[in-house]
Amino acid sequence: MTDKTILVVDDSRVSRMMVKSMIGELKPGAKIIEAEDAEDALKLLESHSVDYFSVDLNMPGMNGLELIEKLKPDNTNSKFALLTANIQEATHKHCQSLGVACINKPITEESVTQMLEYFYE
Amino acid sequence: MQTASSKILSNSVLDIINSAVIIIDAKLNINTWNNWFTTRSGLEPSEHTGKNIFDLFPDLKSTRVSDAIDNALSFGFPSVISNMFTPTPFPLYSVINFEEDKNFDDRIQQSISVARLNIDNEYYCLIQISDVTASVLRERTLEQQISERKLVEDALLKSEVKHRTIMETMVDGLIVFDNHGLIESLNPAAEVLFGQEEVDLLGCTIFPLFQELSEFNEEADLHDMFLMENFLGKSQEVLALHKDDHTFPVELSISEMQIGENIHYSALIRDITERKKIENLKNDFIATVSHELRTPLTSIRGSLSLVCGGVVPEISDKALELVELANRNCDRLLLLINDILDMEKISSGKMQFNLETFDLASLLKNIIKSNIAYAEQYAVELVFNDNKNKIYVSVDEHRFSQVISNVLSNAAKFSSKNGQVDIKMEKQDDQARISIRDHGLGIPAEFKDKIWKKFTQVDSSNTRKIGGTGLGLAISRSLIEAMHGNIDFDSEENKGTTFYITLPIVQEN
Amino acid sequence: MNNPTLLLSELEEDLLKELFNIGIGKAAATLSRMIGQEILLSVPDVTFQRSELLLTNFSEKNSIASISQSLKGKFSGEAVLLFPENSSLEVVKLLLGSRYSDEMLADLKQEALVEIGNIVLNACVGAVAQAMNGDFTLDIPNYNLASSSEILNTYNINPNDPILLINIDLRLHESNVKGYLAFIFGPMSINSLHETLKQLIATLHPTSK
Repeated sequence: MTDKTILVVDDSRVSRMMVKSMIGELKPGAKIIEAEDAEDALKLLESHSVDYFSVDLNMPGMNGLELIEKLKPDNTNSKFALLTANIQEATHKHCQSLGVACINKPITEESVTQMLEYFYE
Repeated sequence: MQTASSKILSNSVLDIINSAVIIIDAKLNINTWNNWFTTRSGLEPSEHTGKNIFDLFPDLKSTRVSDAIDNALSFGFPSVISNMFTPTPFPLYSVINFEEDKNFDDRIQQSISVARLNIDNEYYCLIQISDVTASVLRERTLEQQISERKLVEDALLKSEVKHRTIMETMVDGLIVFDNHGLIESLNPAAEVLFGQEEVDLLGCTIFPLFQELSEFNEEADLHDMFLMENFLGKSQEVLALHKDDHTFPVELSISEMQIGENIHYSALIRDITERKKIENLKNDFIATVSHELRTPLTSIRGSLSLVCGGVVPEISDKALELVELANRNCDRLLLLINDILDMEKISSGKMQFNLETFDLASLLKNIIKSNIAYAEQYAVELVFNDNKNKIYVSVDEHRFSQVISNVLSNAAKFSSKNGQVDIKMEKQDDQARISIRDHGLGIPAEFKDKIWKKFTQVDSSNTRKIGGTGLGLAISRSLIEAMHGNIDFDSEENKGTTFYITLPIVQEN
Repeated sequence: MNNPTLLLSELEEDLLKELFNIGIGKAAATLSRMIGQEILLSVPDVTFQRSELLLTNFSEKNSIASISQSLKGKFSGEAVLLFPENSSLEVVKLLLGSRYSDEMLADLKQEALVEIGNIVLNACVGAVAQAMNGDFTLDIPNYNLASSSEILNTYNINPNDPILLINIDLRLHESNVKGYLAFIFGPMSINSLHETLKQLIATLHPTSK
C-alpha cells in the first residue's frame, strides 16, 4: 500500500501535535504535513498533493467547513474529516450534505481511529 | 445493588419529600425510584428495575438530561436543569387528572438536579425532580396581565412614535422643558442649531441657551415671565447661544401644555441668521442707493428753489406753477430719502444721539409751535393743555422733535376739517407720558400691528389723497426706543386716535 | 511568586486554549440542543493574570453577574463564569427570548444563568479533567451579583493573586456577547497545574521546545 499524505489543519499547535502523534502510532507509514490555518493550507497545496484532510472547524479567518467547501471541487479523490468539539445538528447536516466525516474532539485514540477508518476504508 | 437501593429507601426520607427521586447505576440502568415518582408517572419501580433509562424514557436521549447524567457519571459533576430551558423532560402528570388520556401538554412543569452518589464503592446517578407547575402558572397569569398592559402601552406608543417622527424630521428646533425650565427633550434640529447633543442638555435649564433668558432661573414663575416678555404664543427675535460661544439670531416662540397634572413648555426655534443677513444686505443696498440718489436730487431741488424764489423773473405763471409742483415733490423725495437713511442708521446702530436734559413742557411747546403752520394747511388747531407740571426728560432734541412732529402731522392729516388736536403730558410713576389726540378717521383694528412696520399704509388710496410715505411711525418708534421710551396708540374708527409717548423722568440737572 | 504571565510557555498556553475550546465547544453543543438553534462559542484568549486586572474588563459603573463552582482535585480553587450585568440579561434574552416576555426574563434571569454557568463550567472542567486523567469534584453552582469593587471580595481574591482568565465569545444569529471564565487557584494549585501541563506536552513531543 502506497504511503498516503495526510494534511492536518488546526490553529492549535498542540492539537496538530496530538493528531500527528496518534496517526504516527496507528498508521506509521502515512506522511503528515501541517497547516495552521486555511491560508496556510491553500499555500501548501500548491506544492503538495494530499490524500486525506483532517480539518479543525474553529479557526480564525476561513473556518474548517468553508475551507473544505473550497477544496472539495479540486480534490475529488481525497477524503475530508471535520474535527470539532461542538457538534450541533446544523454542523452534522452540513457535513452530511458535503459528504465529509464529522469527528468529535477531544482528540483521543478513539476519535483518531474513527477518522483513520473513514480515510482508509 | 438491591442492598444499595434498600439502604437508600430504608431511609424513608425519600418517600416523604415532595419531589421525585430516581437512582440509576453507572451503566444507566434503573435502580429504583420513590413513591412520588410512581404516583406521578403511573410506573411501578419493580416493573422497570434494570432497564436502561433511555430505553424507558426515549425522550431523554440527546437532551440536557442525558448530558447531565453523563457529566455526573463520568466526572461526578452536579448539574441543575432549570424549568426554563427544559420544561417537561419526564412523563409525569398531576395526580388529579391522572386517569384521563395523558398528552404532552399535561405533563407537570419540572425542575431537576442531577448528582453522583458513591455507595459501597459503586457510582450511582441521583436524579431529583420537583414539580414547579404552580409557580409557572402564577408567572403565566402575571404574563397575561403584562401583555394586556402592553397592548395599552403600544397604542400610546404609536401616537408617541408619530409625534416623535415629526419631532425628528422637522427643520426648526424644538425643545421641551418643564415648569422649572429643566430640559426634557431636544430634537435633532435643535442639536444642530446649538451644537449640542441631547444627552448633554437633558436635565439642564434652557435659560443659558438664549441671551434674553439668561437672567431667568429655576425659581421663576415661567408662565408669568413668558407672558410678560411676549414669548407665549408669539414669536420674538432673540439671540441664541451656540456651544462655541457665538450668538446667532433666532425667532423663538413658546407654548404651554398640560400633560396630566404637569405643565410643560415647548420652545420652537427658527434660525433667522440667513434672513437677517439678507435684511442687512437689503438695508445696506437701500442706504447706498439712497445716498447716491440724494446728491443729484439736492441739486435738482436747489435749482428749482432758485426759480421759485424768483431768480428767473421772465418765467411765465404757468411755468412757475409747474416748477413749484416739481419743487414740492423734490422736497418729498428728499424727505423720504432722509428717512430711509435714518432708518438704516438706527437699525445698524450707527445713529448718534445727543442726549440733553429738557423741561418737557417747554420743549413740547416749541415743537408744537413749529408745526402750527403745517396744521393750518388742514385747518386743524393744535391745543396744548399745560398742567404746569415740572417734568424733566433726557432726549436728543432733534430726534425727539422729529418724533413729535411726525405724530402731530399724522394727527393733523387724518383729522377732519376744523378739527382739534389735543396735546397733554402727565406723570405716571417714574415715566412722563405725552398724549396726542385727534378726532379723525381713526386706525382700523387690522392695522394695529402693521402700522409700526416700514412702508405700510393704512390705505394707499388715502395716502394719494393726503400724502405721506408711511415710514414715519417705524422710525419714530425706533428713535423713541433708542431714547429709552415707548410709543403706542389707542384708536377707534371714525372717533379718533390717541398716541402715547412715554419717557423716563430724570432729575433736573 | 514571580510574574505569573511568564509561567506558561507557548505550547502550554496553546494546550490550555485547546482544552477550553473543547470544553466550550461541548457547552455550545448542549446549549444549542436545548434551544434548538445554532450557537457558536469560541475562546479567543487564555492568559494568566494578576486578579486585579480582571476588573479592567468590566466598566466600574455596571455590576457583574457571576456563576461559580468550587473545584477540588489535582488543583483546587473556584471556577467562575462572569458577565457584565447587561450582557447577562442579553445572553438570557438571546437564548430564551422567543419563549418568554421581557418582564419574565428579568425575573427568571438568575435561574437561567445558573444553568448556563453550570453547563459551561462542567464542560470546561470536564475537558481539562479528561485530558489530565484527573479526578476533580465540583460543587453545585452559586449565583452572585456584585459591583466591580466588591467582586474580588466575593471570591476572597487578593488583588495580587494570579488567576487564569479565559475570554469567551458567544454568537447567536447576528448577536455577539462577551463573557469571561476565570479560574481562581491557590498558589500550590498553580504549580500543580503547570506541572501537569508540562507532562502532557512532554508525552506529545518528547523534545519539547
